Amino acid sequence: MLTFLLRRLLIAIPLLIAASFIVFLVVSNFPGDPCAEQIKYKTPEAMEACRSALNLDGPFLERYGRYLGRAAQLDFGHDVYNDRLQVGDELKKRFPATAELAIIALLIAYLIGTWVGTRSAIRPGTWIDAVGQVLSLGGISIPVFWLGMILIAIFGVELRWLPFEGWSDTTIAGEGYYHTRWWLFEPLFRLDFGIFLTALKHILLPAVALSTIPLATITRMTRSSMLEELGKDYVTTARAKGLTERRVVKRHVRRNALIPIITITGLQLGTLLSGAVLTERVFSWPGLGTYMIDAALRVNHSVLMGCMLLFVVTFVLVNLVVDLLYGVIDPRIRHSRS
Amino acid sequence: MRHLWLLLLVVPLVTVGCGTESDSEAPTALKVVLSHGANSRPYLPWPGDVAKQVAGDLEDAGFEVEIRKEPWSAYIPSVTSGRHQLALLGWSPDLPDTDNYLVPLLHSDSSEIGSANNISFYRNPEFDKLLDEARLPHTREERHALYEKAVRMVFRDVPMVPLIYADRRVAFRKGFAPLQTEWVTHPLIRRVKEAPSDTLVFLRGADSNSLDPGDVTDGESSKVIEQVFDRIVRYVPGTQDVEPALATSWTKNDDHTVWTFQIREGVTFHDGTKLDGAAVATTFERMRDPKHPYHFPDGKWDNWKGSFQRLIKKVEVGSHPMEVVFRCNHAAPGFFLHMLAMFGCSIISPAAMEKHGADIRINPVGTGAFKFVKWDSGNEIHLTRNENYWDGPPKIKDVYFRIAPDATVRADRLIAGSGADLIDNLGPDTIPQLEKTDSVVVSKLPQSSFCYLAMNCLKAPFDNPKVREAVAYAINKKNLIRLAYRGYAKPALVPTLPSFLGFPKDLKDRPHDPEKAKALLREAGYAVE
Repeated sequence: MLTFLLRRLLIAIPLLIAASFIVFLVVSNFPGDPCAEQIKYKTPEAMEACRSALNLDGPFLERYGRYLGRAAQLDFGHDVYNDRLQVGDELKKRFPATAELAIIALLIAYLIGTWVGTRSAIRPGTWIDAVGQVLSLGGISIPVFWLGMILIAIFGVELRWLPFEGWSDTTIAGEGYYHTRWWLFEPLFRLDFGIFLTALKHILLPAVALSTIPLATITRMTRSSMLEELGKDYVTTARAKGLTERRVVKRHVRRNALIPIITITGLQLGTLLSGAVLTERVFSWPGLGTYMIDAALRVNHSVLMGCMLLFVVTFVLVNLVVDLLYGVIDPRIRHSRS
Repeated sequence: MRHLWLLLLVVPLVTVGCGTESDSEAPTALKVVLSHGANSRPYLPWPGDVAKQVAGDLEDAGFEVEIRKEPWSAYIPSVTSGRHQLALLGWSPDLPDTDNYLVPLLHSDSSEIGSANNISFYRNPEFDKLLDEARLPHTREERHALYEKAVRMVFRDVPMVPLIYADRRVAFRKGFAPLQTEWVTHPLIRRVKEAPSDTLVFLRGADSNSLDPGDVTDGESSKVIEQVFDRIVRYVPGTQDVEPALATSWTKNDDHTVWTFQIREGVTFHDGTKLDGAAVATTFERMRDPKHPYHFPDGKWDNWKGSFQRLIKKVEVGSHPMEVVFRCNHAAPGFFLHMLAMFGCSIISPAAMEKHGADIRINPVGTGAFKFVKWDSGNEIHLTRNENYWDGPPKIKDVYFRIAPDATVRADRLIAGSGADLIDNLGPDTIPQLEKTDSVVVSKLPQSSFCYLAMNCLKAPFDNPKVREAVAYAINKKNLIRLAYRGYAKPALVPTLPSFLGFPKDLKDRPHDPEKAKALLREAGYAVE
């Protein structure tokens, strides 16, 4: 078990180096000169000082090496346009907002997706199956930023059921309440359900918008996986034993169908992170997505690099967790590993 | 499979990365390149639409136009070094004075390759002489006459086509009144006398860069700085006149080189430090003197370099502690007091600079109506009422600056009353809906910025005045405003505002006339059908 974990973590290192190389290559070839833009009086000395401070001087490989050396010590440099902001600090600060949004979105998608998927597999051709089809088709084809706008227009502006005033400690609990930046989960851990509920209301609209991406895939995967299992011999056996249909589905079929569903749910986190970029911008969410898109629009090298690396790390870790989950769900996998 | 998403991100980035960079000039036909920045600006809400409209007009007059869109960070270096032929750009002045339009945009001093603001590269010694003369302390009428002469010269030589004067609007929740601005400022929350709540949320498009007034030039920073700090003089709301603020009175010597200000008694900074002449002198000296302990080495000091560097010799405490003396190298221009009313001249607590060092930019301490509380970067800035404000404490207690990059979302939030009391940079397509909403007031601010089409006079074919004039005849400003600005702009005539000195009241613009444009091109030796 431990060697497995260690091996998987070690694989992540070359992966990170390769990913950082590609990203660095792309970002370095962006058109534009951040120093020329921000310095109004461009003396050669000022330009040189700026270039060296931003790691823009020297041949490509030398700059990449310098970046990698610093990144290994968790120094990602400072914001190209604001030397007060350390990229590492900002990533740490913004991570909880994106993580909470992604977790809630994935939770919504998983709960609704598996429920609808199971129902439509049990009764193919009924209305619930039709709903499932529409959900997955819609989820795949509707752009999240558009859906976000529509959700705002309906639930925020017309019906006024949910707030969309942004994600900030002062809008949820007031100044001085929080000790961490986990604005949704901290009140939960403090058993402060009133504030948790307020936070939940604030996160619901963006989370619903974001959840449509994984929702589609999870619904379809659940449906086909359940259908496949339902046709197997052991189901007939279980039914022949006189088990109720409910018990057959819950105890036998669903467990077996769960493996591909869990895999696809884990993999969805990648699309969720890129979807967060769009959703966060629409809802002005102070997370990594907003940070990254602003950086891309302004050619903010250091911020882009930092965000991409963090995304890669998150993705690798989540896949690791998914692999570990297999063992929990399916004892056969656990045994074959040890 | 699992890294496919990364590829998906990388591929579009690579294609963006190798897009531009072919700068071939077309010597024969009338092939021209029209460049514009990709990012929207107050005077260019949809730069692509404006570019398409202008290009269409030019093609009707016989040009062949290629539109080149560049990210802002590549566009600015490209135009300041004169790599463009035609370029769309705008200008928002810092002072209500024609000087602040004509000198940066058209004086030959501003046309140095690599750092030019004068991206038409218009170099006319006769024109320069008029501007230099108008800077000397003349009467208003004399300055008006000089500027009018200069402006007519620009109209004749056509180094640029002024396109539009941009409308600047804010929208706010009904009940907040009045939301006034001083001349070039953003809405001043201290002037609000009636309010439905004691909290105000100012929802804007982006975060501030820094709250050190000496070291920033961007609007998102200045709209916070203006609430926290005061200047020694300020504008009378709704006018271009200056009135006392932290200074109560002033005198000048006969040749306008020594200005003496009496500083207001009994004012304290938010940290309890007493305001005196030394604090005022320190605020200016730290910008002027590179060896000053508060001249923090990573600062860019663009405000100072742009306005005061050549003018001011020294700022020092006068004959008593509440007196400040500005000593100038040459006669201060007629708009010297206006320069002192700019947000860059905000008076900072010297004790706070001593305490925080360069981190004063995240811990601003002034004398203003609102005290700084907290800045959560990328998300929120919180200010609270200064109960001891010298001009009477403001009505509003807490001010939150929050961010929504999308103009539609800003409008939605204000309409829903969900986390926005005041929004700015309205998207032209959101204005009709905001105006229809009962709970919202849309208010026009004084016009200040304008958008123009610069023609690079150093490059063919625009080194030929006939071709430049043809462009002026080719562009249909009325259509441009209707289609690319949704009607929210006014046609521009010359590079200064109608309310400023030197605006020629009787000058008529060239009509939209493609045939005349073609005729001019033929005169210039180009074969157009």
